[in-house]
Parts: sequence; C-alpha cells; structure tokens
Amino acid sequence: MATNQQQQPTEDMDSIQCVEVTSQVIMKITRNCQDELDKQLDPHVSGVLLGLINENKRVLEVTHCFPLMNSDTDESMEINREHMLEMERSLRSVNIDYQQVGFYQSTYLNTHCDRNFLDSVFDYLEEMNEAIAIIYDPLKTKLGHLSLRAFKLSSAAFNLYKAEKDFTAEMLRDNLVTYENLFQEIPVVVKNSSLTNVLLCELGHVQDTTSYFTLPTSSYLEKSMQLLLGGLDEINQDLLKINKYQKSVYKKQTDMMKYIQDRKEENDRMIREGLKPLPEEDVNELFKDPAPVGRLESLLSANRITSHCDMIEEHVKSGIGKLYLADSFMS
Amino acid sequence: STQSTGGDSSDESSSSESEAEMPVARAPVRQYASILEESDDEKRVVRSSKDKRFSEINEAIKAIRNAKKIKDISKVFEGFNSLCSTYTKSQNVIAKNGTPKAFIRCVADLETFVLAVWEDKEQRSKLNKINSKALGALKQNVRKFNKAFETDIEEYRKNPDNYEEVIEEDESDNDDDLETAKDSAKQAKKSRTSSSRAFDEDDDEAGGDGMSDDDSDDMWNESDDSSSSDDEMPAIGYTAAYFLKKKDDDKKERPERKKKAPKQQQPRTSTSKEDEGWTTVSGVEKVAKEKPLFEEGTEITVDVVNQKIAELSSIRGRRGANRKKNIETFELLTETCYKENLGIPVVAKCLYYTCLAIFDYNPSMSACMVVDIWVQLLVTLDKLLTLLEGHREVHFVEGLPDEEENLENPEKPLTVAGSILVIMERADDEFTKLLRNLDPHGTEYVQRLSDEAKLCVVILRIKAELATRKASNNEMCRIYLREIEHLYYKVDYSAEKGGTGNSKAKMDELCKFIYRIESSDHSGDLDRIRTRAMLCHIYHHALHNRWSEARDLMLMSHLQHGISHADIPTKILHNRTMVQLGLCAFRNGYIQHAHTTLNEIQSSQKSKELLAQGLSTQRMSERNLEQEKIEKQRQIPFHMHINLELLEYSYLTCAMLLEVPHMAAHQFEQRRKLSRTFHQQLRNAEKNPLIGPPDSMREHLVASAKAMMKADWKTCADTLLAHKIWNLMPNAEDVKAMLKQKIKEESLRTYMFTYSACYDSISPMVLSRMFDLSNKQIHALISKMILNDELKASWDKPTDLLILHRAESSKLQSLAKQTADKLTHVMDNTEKMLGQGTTFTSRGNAAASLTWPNNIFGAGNGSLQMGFPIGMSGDSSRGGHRNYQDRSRNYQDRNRNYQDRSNAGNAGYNGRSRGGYNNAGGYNNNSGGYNNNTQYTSRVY
Repeated sequence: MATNQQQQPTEDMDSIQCVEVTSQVIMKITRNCQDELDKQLDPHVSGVLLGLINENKRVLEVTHCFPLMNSDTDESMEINREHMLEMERSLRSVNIDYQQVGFYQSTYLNTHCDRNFLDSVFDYLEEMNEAIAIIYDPLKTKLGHLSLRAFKLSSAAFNLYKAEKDFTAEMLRDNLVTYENLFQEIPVVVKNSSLTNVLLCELGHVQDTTSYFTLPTSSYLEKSMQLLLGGLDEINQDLLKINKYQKSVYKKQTDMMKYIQDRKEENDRMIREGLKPLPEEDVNELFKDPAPVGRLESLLSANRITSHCDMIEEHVKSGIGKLYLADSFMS
Repeated sequence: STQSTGGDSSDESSSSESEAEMPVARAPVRQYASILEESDDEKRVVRSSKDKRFSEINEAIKAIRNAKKIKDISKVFEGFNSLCSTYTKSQNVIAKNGTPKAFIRCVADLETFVLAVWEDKEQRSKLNKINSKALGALKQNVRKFNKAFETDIEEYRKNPDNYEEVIEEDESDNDDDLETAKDSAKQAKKSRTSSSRAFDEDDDEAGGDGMSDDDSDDMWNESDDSSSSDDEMPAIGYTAAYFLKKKDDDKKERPERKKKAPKQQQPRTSTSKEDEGWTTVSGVEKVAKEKPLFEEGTEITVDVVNQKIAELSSIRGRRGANRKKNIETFELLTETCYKENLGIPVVAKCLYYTCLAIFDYNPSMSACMVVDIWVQLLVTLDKLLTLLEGHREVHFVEGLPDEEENLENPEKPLTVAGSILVIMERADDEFTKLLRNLDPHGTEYVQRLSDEAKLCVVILRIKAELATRKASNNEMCRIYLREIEHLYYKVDYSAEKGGTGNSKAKMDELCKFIYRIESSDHSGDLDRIRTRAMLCHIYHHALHNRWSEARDLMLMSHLQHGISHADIPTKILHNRTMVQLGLCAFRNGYIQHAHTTLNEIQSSQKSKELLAQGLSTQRMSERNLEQEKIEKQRQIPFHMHINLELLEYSYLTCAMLLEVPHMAAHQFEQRRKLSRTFHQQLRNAEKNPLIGPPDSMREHLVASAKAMMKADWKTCADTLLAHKIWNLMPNAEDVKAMLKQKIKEESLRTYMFTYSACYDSISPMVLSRMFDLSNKQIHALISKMILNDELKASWDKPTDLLILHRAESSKLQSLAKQTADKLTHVMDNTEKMLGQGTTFTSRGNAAASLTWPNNIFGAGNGSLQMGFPIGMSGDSSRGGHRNYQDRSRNYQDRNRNYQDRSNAGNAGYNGRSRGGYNNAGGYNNNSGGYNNNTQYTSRVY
C-alpha cells in the first residue's frame, strides 16, 4: 500500500489535497507496464487517467485509465488522439467516468523528470485546472514496494512556464521557484471497494514474511549512482555555461563603461572646441547583452538529482536497519 | 702598443698580438721607450666606408694590372670579376663621390688590353686552354660592362693624364696603415725611395704634370682629412724622441701646403707593382700637424700632468671626441711622465686613465670591444700591475676625490684615485662579451680563448697584490669570485684520472675564503658574492660527480629560498648549477632526484633562455627587439655551455624510468602525470603514421619507452643506449651500466603492475630469468612494492613463491569515488562562479560581497562535514541541507538589499548569480546522499 508520507504545503486551498486511486487503476497501470517490460520494449509507458474531482472533499478520484502508444512520431500521436476520442466515446456509452484528469507514466529510477514530462504536465494543466501526472516505478514495485506518486506543476511554475518557456534566473528568483517546488507532489490514497478489501484480507493470510529480510541489491544502487553521476555532469556543464556567461557580462560591462567614458571625454573636448557633441544613447545598441543561460534544464536536472538522492537514501536506509539487525543477531 | 684599425687581416692581428706580448717580458724602462716609438710612427687612419670601398677597388685594379703584366688571362678575368663585384657593392659610395678615376682607367686599359691580345692571333694560339677560354669570356664581359662608362672612358682616352696616379697615391695611403704597424719609419723611407725609382722605370706615364699632382693630392688627402682634422689634438711632446723622428722638412711643411693651394711639387710616393704593395710610409708627416701635448717650453710638472688628465678626461664620452686618439694621447702622456721622472704615482695614474680611455673606446656598453683594443687593455693593465708590484708604496684608493690625491709628497702615503680591481673586472666582462660575439666554431674563438690564461694570470697577480696591500674584505671577495668564476666550469681531468684533485682543493680554498668573511655590513653585494661563490662551488662539485657534497651544500645553504630575489645573472648561474646537479644525480643513479631537479628547467620548454645558451626560435615572435637584445647580452660564452641535447635526453630517460611503471600502476587514472614533457613526446610519436627504426634522440627514447611498457628490458636498454650522445657523458660506461640496471628494475616493476593480475602465484626464479636480476634483487624489489602497497601479494616461504592477492574495488566503490571527484568539480565551479560574482559586484557593496563566498563555502562545508560522520541517518544530512537553505534565504535577503541600492545593470547580474546558487543547493543535497552511500558501502564490503 503505497502512499507518500511527505506532505507538501499547498499554496492555494482551492486545489485538491489528495488523489484517490482505485485498485483497478493500479492493476491496470501495473499490467500495462509489466506487459511492455516483458516485451523488452521501451520501458516508458504512458496512458490517460480518467476520473472526477470531488470538489467538496478537494479530492481527485481516479477511477479508470487506458494506455496510449508511445508518442514519438507524428503518426503515433495522430493514432493516439483518435484512440483517445474513441475510448472517450466508448466509455461514455457504458457510463463510466470519461473526464480526463491527467496521465500516468512509468519511470526508470526516477529519470522521468525531463522536458517532455514538463511539457505534458503543462498541457494537461492548461486543459484542466486540477490535472495530475502519476508516476509508476516498476522496478521498485518489483522489489516489493509499490511506488505511485502523483505530481502537478506548482502554480508559480505553471504561470512562469505559461509566460516563458525557457526560465531566466530573474523570473525564478521573483517567483521563488526552486528545483524543489517546481513540481508539487500530491499524496496518493488507494481507495478500494468493500469487496476488494475482503479479498485482500483473505490474501493477507498467505503472505510470505521472509522477503522483508533481503538486503538491497547493489545493482540497483549502482544504476542509481550512474544516473546520479550523469546528473552531476549536467549540473557541472551548466555551471560552466554560467561561468562563461558571467565572464561575458563582465566584459560587456567594462567595455561599455570604457566606451561611455571615452565618449564623454570626446564630447567634453568637442564642447570645448565648440563643436556639437556626439549622441550618447547608442550604447545599448552597440553592446548587446549576451544570451542568458536558460535555467530550466538545470532546474530539471537538480530535481532529478534530488529524487535520485532521496531514492538512494531510502533504499539504503532500510538496508542499514537490516544490517544492524543482523549484526546484533550475530553477536 | 697600438695597432692600426685599418687592416683587419689576420696577419696583422697576429703580429699585433706578438707585439702586445713583448713588453710584458721587458723591463719597464725599455718598455716605455718602445711605446713611444711605436706611437710616433704610427698615424692611425680612421677610414670611412668610402675609403674602405675605394681601397678594395684599388686592390682589384692592382691585381688586374699585375696579372696583365704576366699575361695570365685567367687571373685577369678573376680580377675583373672581383672588380665588378666590388664596384656593385660600393654603388652608394660611388654615387656620392663619383666614379674613381683609377677605376675608369683600369677598365679602359683592360679593354684595350683584351682587344690587343685578341687581335694578336699568333699569341692567342699560344695560350693554353684555360686562358683562351677566359679571354673569350673576358672580352664579352668587359665590353658589356664598359658600356655603362662609355663617356668616362672616352674622356679618359682623350685625356689620359687626368687619370694619372690616382691609384698610386691611394695605395700608398692604404699601405701606410699596414706598413706602420710593422716597419719603422726608417725602413719605410728606404723602401719609398727605392719603390719610387722602380715606379719611374716601370710606368712610363708622365708624372710631372701639376694637374695630376693636384688630383692625386686631393684624392689621397680626402681620406686623411677626416682623421687629420681630429688629429689636431695634441699628441706629442717636444721630446728628444719627437725630434728624432723628423726626417724631411718637406713633410713638416705638408699641412701648410695643403691648406694653401697645393701646387708644390712633391716627391712622389709610389709603389712598385712587383713589390706587392709594400709602400712608403708617409705617416710621419702627420705628426707635424698635431699640436704638441704641452706648450713648448712648459715645464712639465705633476700639476701640469694632472691638469692635462683632468682636461682630457673631461672630454670623455663627448660626441666629438676621437676616442682612439684619446687612448694614444694618454699613452703619450704616460711616456712623457716617465721621461720627466715625475714619479711612479703619476705614471700609474696615467696608465689608469689609459685604461679608462680604452673602455671609452666603445660608444656603448652593449657593443663588444675590438679584439686589438682588448689586447691593448690587457697589456696596459699588465703594465700598471707591474708598476704597482714594483712600488708597494703607491696605493689606489677607490672613491677618493681628485684633490686628496697625493702624487708627489713622499712623506704621506702616496695615493691615486681609482681602483685597479674595477679595471680588471671590466676587462673580464669585456672578455666575456668578446667571446659571446665570436663564432664559437671558428678558430678565432679558440685563439681568443687562449687569452683567458693571460687574463687569469692578471687576476692572480691582482689577487696577490691586493692581499699584500691588505685590501678590504669586499675587494678580496670580488677578486676571489672572479677567480672562482674562471675555474668552476672547467673539468679537472687530472682529478678524474685519480690525480690529486687539484682544482677541488683550489675551489674549496677559494670558496671557503669567501664563506669565512662575515658580512658585517650586510651589504647586498657581499651576499651576492657569497651566493655566486656557493653556486660555483656546487657546480664544481656536481661537475666532478661529487653528488653528496654538492647536494649537501645546496640543501644546507638554503640557496633556493632567496634565489627568486637575486639578479638575473645569478639566477642563470643557479639554473646552471641546478642542471649540473641534476646531471650529477643522474650519473650517480639517483633517478628520482635527477628528475625533480631537471623537471623545472625542462618542462618550461625554455631551457635555452633559462640557461642563457641562446634563444629558442619558436618563441622569437613573442619577444620584441628590445628584449631580444637584453637576452643576448646575458648569453653565456659557448665554452661554458651545458649540452642541451644531453640534458634533455638525460631528463627524458629519468622521466621514462619513473613514468612507465607509474603509468602501468595507474592505468585508469589519467590525471596524475609525473612528467608532462615525456607524455608529450609519447603523444607526438603516436601521431606518426609510420614508425621506422629510431633515428633522432627523441625517437630513441620513445621506442625504448614503448619497449619498457611491454616490460621488454633488453630492447629498451639496447635502444636507449644505442644513441651516441651518451658518449658525451663523463664516465659514459659507468652511466650506461647504471642505466641498464635501472631499466631492468623498472621493467620488472612495470611487468608486475601490468601482468600481476594474470598470475595467482609466480616464482621469483622465473622473474629472475626474465629480467636478468639476481634472486636477491628480485626479492628486494618485490618486497619493496608490497611494502609500498603497490602490489597486493605476499611471499610464501616454504614453496618460495610470490602469492598474489586480488582486491579490486567493486564497481559501486569506484562509482562512489567518481562521484566524489565530480562533486569536487561542481564545488570548484560553484565557488568560481560565486567568486566572480564578488569581483563583479564588489563595487557596489563591498562588505556584503566579501562575506558571501565564505558564508557559502562554510555552509557547503558544514553540510559536508555533518553529512559525513553521521551520514547514515538521512535526517542529519537533511539537517545540513536545511541549514544551508536558511543561509540561502539570508543570502537572498541580502541580495535584495543590494539590488535596491545598485543600478539596473548590476541587478540583472546578481539575479543570475543567484540562479546558480540554487544549483549549489542541489549539489549540497547530493553530497548528503553521497555520503550516506559511501558510508554504507564501506561498511558492507
């Protein structure tokens, strides 16, 4: 039963506080991902979430979902769109919730957070105010922890993105957007019908408890570390870019100052000689600002690194606990 | 003695040398007499470029004429060719002064001559093959060449008299210079009379014509005028010697005649062609033109001489002053003083000033002295020294004002202002300069080098002299240093053969004298002398393979601390010493020491400049002319050079011996390199598309390095030692044996690093066979590797095997390591970025901006430190992170404050820098995570 305990403060009280997912949706998502993984196809699986917003409880209820094809090419996008319309019509005809409330996506060690993801989240949010994205981690699930996390773009980030696709540093500062509050995580609650609960109770009797004692595998850690390294590289490159930018800005400033100084002296001289001084306002045309460094990519990679770190931490934490346990047993 | 500057033929210079040496042996009295004689005869002519060119032309003309006489057509042809080339060379002189008449006459005559020979069929048939060929060529060439002078030749044909005698007079003038240097005036006169007779017989051209005489007079006085006008300076006193020299009255009258219309008939001075130009001397007559040194009848006293010296030295260095003349004047003055028995101090003073005048001969300090002048200087110095040695009561006092000199009063100590030491030092410097400017591969260089012995003798004598006169410590040190500097770079071969080590004892004695002197006044000068002496001492030790002495002296003296403040020549000496020390270490097999010592010089790619042994060419464009000139002045003379090739090869060999095993041990770590130069060589070699057998030094090295990488010690040693440059190394055989041993050892190490992974165990016997090392050596080497943690292995005594253990780091561990590296990069970059921010904004808000980086750095560090020891709990690292965030808020607030105050341009910038700062936050968070991880892995595995 996966829920994320970390409560993120929500800015406005109007938005939803919680996402309720039915186990049917979870099963469907899991099934979809598992199928794709078994086929050794692209592990990135996505689909549409359908449901309703419960305004009173400020809860988003996700009651249904269906998969989509990978939308890499234009053709597949066209097919997806048709498929979505078809599904919508069909579902409506059998009287199931047909409102799109977001999408789900599988992830591989939290690498989902990139430009595409941001774009999709934004698109859905534009269509519908409360749209969310559910991230499903099949790898973690395989290790025995169902991982479903719901995200939406924070309103500040949403507004920013609406205005400007490539964030500048000033905008980030003015709107207080950091890598941490770029996305807003919404707690996920699994809501089951009573019948399902009964079934689960029966299944609980035959649970095998020994699996809790397995130690975390190192391959999982290795992969995480590799991804972490990649993230660090990106950050590093970004830093280099910023360094370069700083230098060019500095150069521009000094050049400009020098130019103004020269021009001023020249003008003083000309005035003394009774000539008409040269105009002074063409400075900004002469010295162009160097193109500022887009902050979005580094925001995203910082976000990714954070999630990697969280993941490693969580993964290792349980392992260390077990080690201590084993240690005391041994002695 | 003085020599003419006119003739530069080697003949002359050698004669001048022999002359220069003569007086050393003679007693002083006779010496002065001889000087006077010489300076009397010799009237120096400073020749302009015009004169030089013209005399060249004349020589060619003469050669042609002589050849014509014996009907040697090929010689004539040769002469004609040389005449043509001289003519073209002297174009601009001729353009100024017009074509010399002798030249016109010659070419015209030549044409007639050629035509005559050509016409004379009978004679032509008699000519041998070479000559007839030359005749044809000559005929054509002459006709072509003469076209340019058609009008002149025509004029000459019409009026041949105008062109008379020009050559003759010119020649006599030329030869005058040569002659005076060798012959006495009397001899010259004799030859003149005979030669003029010969001329009359020989050449049947009319000579009595007034016109022709005028011409000739003008022609040959032209060259004189320049010099003789300067010669108006007083040169000679009314001494008996002076009058003795007067031979003809007409000579005395000559200047008068010149000033008026020179119509007077004058006995022709001429040369006979058979004589090959040993002609009359007309030099004596110039004496008459000069004003006497003193007014007639003046009683020559010390005061008068003093006045004269003051007068002469006051014109020193002035533009108009004839420097050459000055030297002579002083010499004459010396002579006069001697004659008048004015006392030793005065003579000494005169000699002293002669030396000064010689130094003044060069217009600038940078230009080098003419060889003759330097020799003259040495002789004068020698005379002065001999004088002082004979008269210990006379003292030179440096820095004494002229008024306080005591030249005559025998009751008080006799003192003369000046310092003989200074003269000697300058003479020494000039000698170095002289050598620097000579072609080091010419014979002349060797000749000059032999003068060093003389110079050294003078130095030794001055040293003895100063010692007996109880000179000050400073002066003694200076003279000692000079001696040391002439000694330190010379290899003592007798010591090498097991002799007594003569120069070592000498060096020790000299240097220890300097060390013993307390620098009571702490003058920089004495410190400098001591530093230099020490460096020379070390150099000498190192040169003679006394490694431990050299090293101990170098380390104990703490020279290296202060050397960066030293003057450039001392720095150069230091560099030389370090290089020599490195080479010494290399010869003794201390590869590591040799490498570190040589690395600094070699890695800069500027070893030539650092050792002042020439300028490296590729950097030529980077320095301007001025710098180049300065650098050239610092160059060390060739005979003191250290062989750069040998140096480089030794260095690279050291680098190879160290680097190849190092590379094998750290295959996967690219960053740590011991020698960049060595890697550069390897990389360069890889660029070659085709690798042939090694030829150059570097190719040899690369080839042997490649062999060593494969642990193939035999190929390595063979290739490396095949290069013949090792023969330049002293004790070449010992060094080679040492290198071979080292190569074996390092190859073994390389082998163990590279291939130990392939073995579970290995027998030292096998290794011993592979590397031709004894079992004991193998054991020692491998044990050392095990001790140094380079090899994970242990000895198994019972089986006598080396058991290798495998302990490779897991992938996760290496990843963790990499992460740590990356994090440091990120941190560096972040710091750089923030650092830049401060430099940029510090204008606006200095106090705040100064504290930023510290704060941030502190925060970053703090979280790192917090994360590390209790890294296991995620909360604590989070704690660190929070802490950091709080600080970041602080920073933002401050930033905002600042922004309010600052102008718009800066504000935009600030915002940007904060954007980056957020990233730093991200990084910090990571560091927490990362630390968790390492902690974990180190526990588990």
